[in-house]
Amino acid sequence: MTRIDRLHDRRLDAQSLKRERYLVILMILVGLIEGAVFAAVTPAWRAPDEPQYFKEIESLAGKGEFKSLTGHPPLYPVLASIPYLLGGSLLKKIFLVRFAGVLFNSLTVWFTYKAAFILFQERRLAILIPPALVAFNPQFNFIGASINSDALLILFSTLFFYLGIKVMKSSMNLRQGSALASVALLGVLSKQRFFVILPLYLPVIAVSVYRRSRQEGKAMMKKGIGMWSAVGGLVLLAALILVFLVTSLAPTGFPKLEVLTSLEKVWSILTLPGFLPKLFFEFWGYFDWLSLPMRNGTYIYFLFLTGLAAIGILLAGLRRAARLGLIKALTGWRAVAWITFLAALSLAVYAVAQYYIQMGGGAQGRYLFIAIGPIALILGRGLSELVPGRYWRPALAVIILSLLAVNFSEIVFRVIPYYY
Amino acid sequence: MNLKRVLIAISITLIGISVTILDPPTPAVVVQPRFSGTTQPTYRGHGFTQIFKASGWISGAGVDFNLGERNRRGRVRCSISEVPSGGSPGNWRQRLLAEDSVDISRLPRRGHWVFSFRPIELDPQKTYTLAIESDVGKKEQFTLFAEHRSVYPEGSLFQGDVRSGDTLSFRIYGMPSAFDLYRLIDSGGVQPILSASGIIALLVAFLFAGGLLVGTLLVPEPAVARRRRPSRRAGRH
Repeated sequence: MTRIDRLHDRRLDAQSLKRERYLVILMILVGLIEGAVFAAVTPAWRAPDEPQYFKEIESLAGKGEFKSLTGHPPLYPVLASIPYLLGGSLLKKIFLVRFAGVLFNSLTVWFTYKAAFILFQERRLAILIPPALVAFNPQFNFIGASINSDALLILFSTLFFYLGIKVMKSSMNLRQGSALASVALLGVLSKQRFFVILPLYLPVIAVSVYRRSRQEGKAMMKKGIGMWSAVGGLVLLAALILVFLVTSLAPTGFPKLEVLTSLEKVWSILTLPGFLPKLFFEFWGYFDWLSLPMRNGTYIYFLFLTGLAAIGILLAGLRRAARLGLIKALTGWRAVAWITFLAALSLAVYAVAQYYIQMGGGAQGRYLFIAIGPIALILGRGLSELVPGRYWRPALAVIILSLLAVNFSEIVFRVIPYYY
Repeated sequence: MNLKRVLIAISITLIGISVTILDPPTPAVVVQPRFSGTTQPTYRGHGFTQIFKASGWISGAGVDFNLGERNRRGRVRCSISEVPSGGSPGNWRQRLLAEDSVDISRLPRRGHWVFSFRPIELDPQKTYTLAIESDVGKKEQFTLFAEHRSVYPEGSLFQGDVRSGDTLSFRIYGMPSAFDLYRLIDSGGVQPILSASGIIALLVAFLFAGGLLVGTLLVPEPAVARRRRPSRRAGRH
């Protein structure tokens, strides 16, 4: 390859990258508008936990007092006080506070794209489907556009996954470690549900240290393990202290973490008839206080999309195993990555079942949003496997067009007529 | 189509949104329903039905409650139905007009809850039922209490306590939403946060931006190669 060819390739890459970013920015723009629509259309207090959150924000911004009515830490009310103070009338305040959540959502979409970019560098479709799936998930938009700390939690959890992937893919340094630790702290301060993904910190470090030790020798490995264990431990400790402090502020207290719930009990919950469909429905869209389902056709559409992605993932796994050989695909740093992935999946499943137990049947699909980034990445990778690389444009256009149509029709023909 | 233009588009959208919210909707005029009726226990589950005749609009009902037990599972459902003329409590074939329900785990242990549903214009000639039901069994001792004070000076609709004789008793307010919690009683009713024109503008912006997104995907990518190749050939000459 000549120098000019290399320059040419680099320029092509730069151009492609620019266009990819442009597409993602457009997705974010559409998502922002959709969020604004949800924020405008949903009447006040008609979203989960909205009155309690609003009262917290009102008390903080108005009297400077924080009284936890939701049982959640204070980061969200603190941040939401800014749009609250900017608004004039009550309705404006509600809209602006809701719109802040929409802005958090757009950052989530961006970090999903960044994570996909690191993971699937050569697959455009796999890079661009995940942000689209996040940006045009109706429930994600609805929850983001409500007065609820979920949007902030989802942002920090996605950022945590992105930084984790970055650390796993490249060599670690103190800056990245500090960033991970800070995001973990902010996540815990947003909602204690963040605790569920904190243990992922350790496999992330393990993969990173393993890869680096292969490159730089065992001395580095020891140093790395020592340093990162220290940072990880400090983060966990700080988080626990903070949550303890916040818990003591809350009048009603947090639901007790039943850490020792038996796996048998969790299994019995997961196999309850209707439990998994409920999570599926509520993951994609179930508005109001979970009293407004989407139309059946919409759920069938998402089932179809998820089914296609599952087939794609299976195909991708088989192809990779055929290419690398089964042993290579399951050993080395890939083994650690697999363990991380399975740990994440198990934790997500466990967390949902745990919530179900604690809330007395009140687990919701939105609890899975803490892993919306990884879920979208997996679905995106699966779907991309089914389309030959050169057809990525029409395939993406079809997926986005169908998602937009579904979102638009749900708002116009389902949500608006329900209220007005 | 570069980053700058996209940023301009985002700015315009945000400015548009800001301008829209400068134009808040006119508060809807809420007609308080006037009620008269009797209370009957429900025939299934735990709860009761308020039978009434009324004029005006109704889009919700509220309850005061005190959950005594920690074991809180199940749902509470509030529904409004129309009783066809000629029906009697024994053989009602009610026509469900609207309903709302809440998971008990969502309710705070003590307080007030307002069920909301789509606004329904009541015909004074017809008979309606407003039912509160719960699938909570007796063993759970889910107890709701009622009090005589009304939060709606003009609209206190059901006077006094209503008891089913079971472990449930409710106080029903016939008013629309939880707005009273936040001094919104004056604007009342279920209404959008923005004006109708604002929502339509946002929907149009959604279609426009969506069209731009899909359109961008369908337009073939301008190849850098086309621009580069002549210069490479020129270099060789």
